[in-house]
Amino acid sequence: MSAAADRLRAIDVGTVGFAVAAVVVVVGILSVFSTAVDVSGLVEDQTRTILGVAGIAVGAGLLRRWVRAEDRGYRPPEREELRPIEVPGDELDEQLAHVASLSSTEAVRYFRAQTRDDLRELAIEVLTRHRGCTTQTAREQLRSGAWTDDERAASFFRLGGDGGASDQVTGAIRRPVGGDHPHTARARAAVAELVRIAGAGA
Amino acid sequence: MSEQSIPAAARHAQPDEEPDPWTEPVPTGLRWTRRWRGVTGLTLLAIGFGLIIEQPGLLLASVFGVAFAAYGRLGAAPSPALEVERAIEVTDPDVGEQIPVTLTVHNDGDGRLRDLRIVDGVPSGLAVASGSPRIATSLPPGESAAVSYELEAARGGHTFDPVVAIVRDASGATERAVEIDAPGTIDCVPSLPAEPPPFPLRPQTTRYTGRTSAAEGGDGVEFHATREYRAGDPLGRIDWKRVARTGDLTTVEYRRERAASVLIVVDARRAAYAAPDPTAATSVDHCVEAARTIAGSLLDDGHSVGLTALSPRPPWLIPGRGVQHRLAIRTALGTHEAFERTPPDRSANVYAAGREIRNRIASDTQVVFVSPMLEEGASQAAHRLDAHGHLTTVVSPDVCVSDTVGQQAAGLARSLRLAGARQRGIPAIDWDPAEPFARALARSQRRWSA
Repeated sequence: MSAAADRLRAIDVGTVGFAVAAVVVVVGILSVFSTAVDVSGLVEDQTRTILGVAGIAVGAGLLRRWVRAEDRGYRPPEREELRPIEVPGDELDEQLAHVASLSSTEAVRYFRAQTRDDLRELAIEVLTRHRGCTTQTAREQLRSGAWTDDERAASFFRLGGDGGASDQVTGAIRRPVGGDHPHTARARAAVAELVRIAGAGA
Repeated sequence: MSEQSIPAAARHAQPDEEPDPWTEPVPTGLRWTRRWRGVTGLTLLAIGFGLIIEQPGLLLASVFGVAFAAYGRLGAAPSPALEVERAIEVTDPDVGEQIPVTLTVHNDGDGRLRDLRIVDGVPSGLAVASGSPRIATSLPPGESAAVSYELEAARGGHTFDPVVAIVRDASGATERAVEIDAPGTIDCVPSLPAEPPPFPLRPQTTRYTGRTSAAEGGDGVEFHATREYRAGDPLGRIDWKRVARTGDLTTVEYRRERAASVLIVVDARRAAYAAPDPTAATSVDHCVEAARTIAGSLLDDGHSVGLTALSPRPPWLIPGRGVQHRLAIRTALGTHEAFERTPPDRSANVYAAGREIRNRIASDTQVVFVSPMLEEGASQAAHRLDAHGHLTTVVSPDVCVSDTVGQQAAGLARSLRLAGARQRGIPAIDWDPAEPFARALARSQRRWSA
C-alpha cells in the first residue's frame, strides 16, 4: 500500500466544523465567564449572529449527511448465501413493475410497448402453431382482439386497448391498496389465455 | 436493443446495477468511518443556537460535544499484523456433504487490536450450512481467535478468497481493511453414475462395432429385411420357412450393430443461466447432471463420447473411449470453469461456436445438446447442428416456474421451442429436475417407441 493511499484526507468538512466549534466554544465560554479576557469585540451582535448562523448551517449539513450516509465504514458482503441467479421471466416482470410504479408518461409508454411487443411475438407463435394461423392472420387477430373471447386478454394486444391516462389514475388509486396494475392484469389475462390455447393444442 | 434507443426517462427509471459483492474490491487502507460526524453536527447546532439566542448553557453543553468529537479525531486504526490459518476437514467431498472449516487468526503484532472484525472468503459457489464465517473480537498481542462453520459441498472446484480483516481504532472513527491470503480449495467432483439408464441415440453410427442399431443390414440381432439369396450367405441366415412355403431362397438380414460417436454439448452461455429460485441449483447445474448420466450411459455401451460447451470458456474433449477418457469427462464436468455457478461475463456467439464444433468433429458424430432452452439462441444452435448432418438430440432441464406473468410467459416460450425442435424431427427430452433424469429418459423412450 502506498504512503499516499494510507494517509487520511487531512481536511474535510467534519474537521473544519470541529475546529470552528472548538474556537467558538472557547471564545464563547471565555466571553461569558471570564472578566480577565476582554473578547467583547469578537462577540458583538453582528459577529455573533454570523458565527451562530454559520454554526447552524454547517451543523445541519453535517447532521443531514450523517443521517443519509450509507458510508459508515466498510461492511464486508454477505458470503453465507449462494450468488443469486435470475429466474426465467424476471425481465418481463421487471418491465411490468416499471409500468405500474413509474410516474413519467414517456417511461410508462416505453415499457408498456416493450412488454406488448415481447408478448406479441409469443402470441403469434402460439396462434400459428396451435390454431394454424399464418403470421399475418395471427397479427390481425391480435390487433382486432378476435383471437380470444376474454375481453381483458384481447385488450392487451388490441390497438388502443390500453387505458392510457385512466390507467395512470387507476394505478395511482390501486397502489396504496395493492393488487395488479390494469396493464399487468391485462398481460396476466393474455398469458393465461395463451397458455390455455397452447395446452389445448398440445 | 441498444442503450441509445431507450428513452431517457425509461433509462433513468431502471435502477443502477448494484455492485456485485463477490467481485467488488475490498477498500483496503485507512479511512474515516464518519461515526462522530453526527456529534460534530449537533455540537455546531448547539453552538449556533447558543450564540444567536445568547444562551451560555447551550455553549457549555457543547463542550461535551467538542470533547467527543476531539476524541474521535485522536489516533488512527493500527496496521494489523495477523496470521491466518484455515483448516478444511474434507477437501474432496461428495455433493451435499457438510464440510467443517475452522479459521484461526493470530495477532503477530505488538499492539492490542481493540476492534477486529474478520470475514472468511467463502467461495461464491458454496453456501454456509451452519455457523458463521465471521469473528468480531478484541485481540491482544500474541493471542489467537478461532471460528468454525460448515459449508455444504456443491459440484465444482471452489477456491477460497482472501480473508478480510477490518481493524478500528479505540474511538471507531477510523478503520483499516486488509486482505490476508489464506489459500484453500475444495474440489467436489461427482462420479459418473455406476448403473446409468440407457440413452436413446439416433441412428447415426461409425464403422466400428457397437450396440447401436444402424440403418443398414448385416450381422446383428434385430430384424432388418430379407433379400434374395447370394452365393456364400451363411446357411443359418436362410429363411427356411419361406423356402418350404414358396421354394424361393431368401436371406434374412439383421440390423448391423455399430458404435456411435457422440458429442455432448452443454449450453453454458450467459443466457442459459437461470434457476427456479435465486439461490437454487442453476440450469447449468442440471445440464451438467444430465450430461454426466448421458456420458456414463454411452461410455458403458461402448460408444465414443466427447464433451464441449456453448460458452466463452468451453472445455474440449473430442469423442473417445477408455478409462482415461472417462476420467477426463468426469473431471471436466466436475470442475471446468465453463460449468461454474457464476455465469460468464460475456455472451458466446452461437454461430461461431456451432461452426467450431462442426470443424472439430467427424461428419458421422451425432450431438446431444443439453440446454434449458430459455431463449431462441439455443433452438438455433440445435437446428443448425442437426441441419449440418450431426443428428441432434435435445435434453432440456426445466427450470421455469409459473408464479408471475413473466415466469408463465417464459415457461410457455420454452415449451414452444421444444415443440419446434420436435416438429423439425429433433427428439427433445423434457426433464423436470424434481424427478430423476432416468425417469425422463424412460418416458421419452416409451413415447418414441410407441
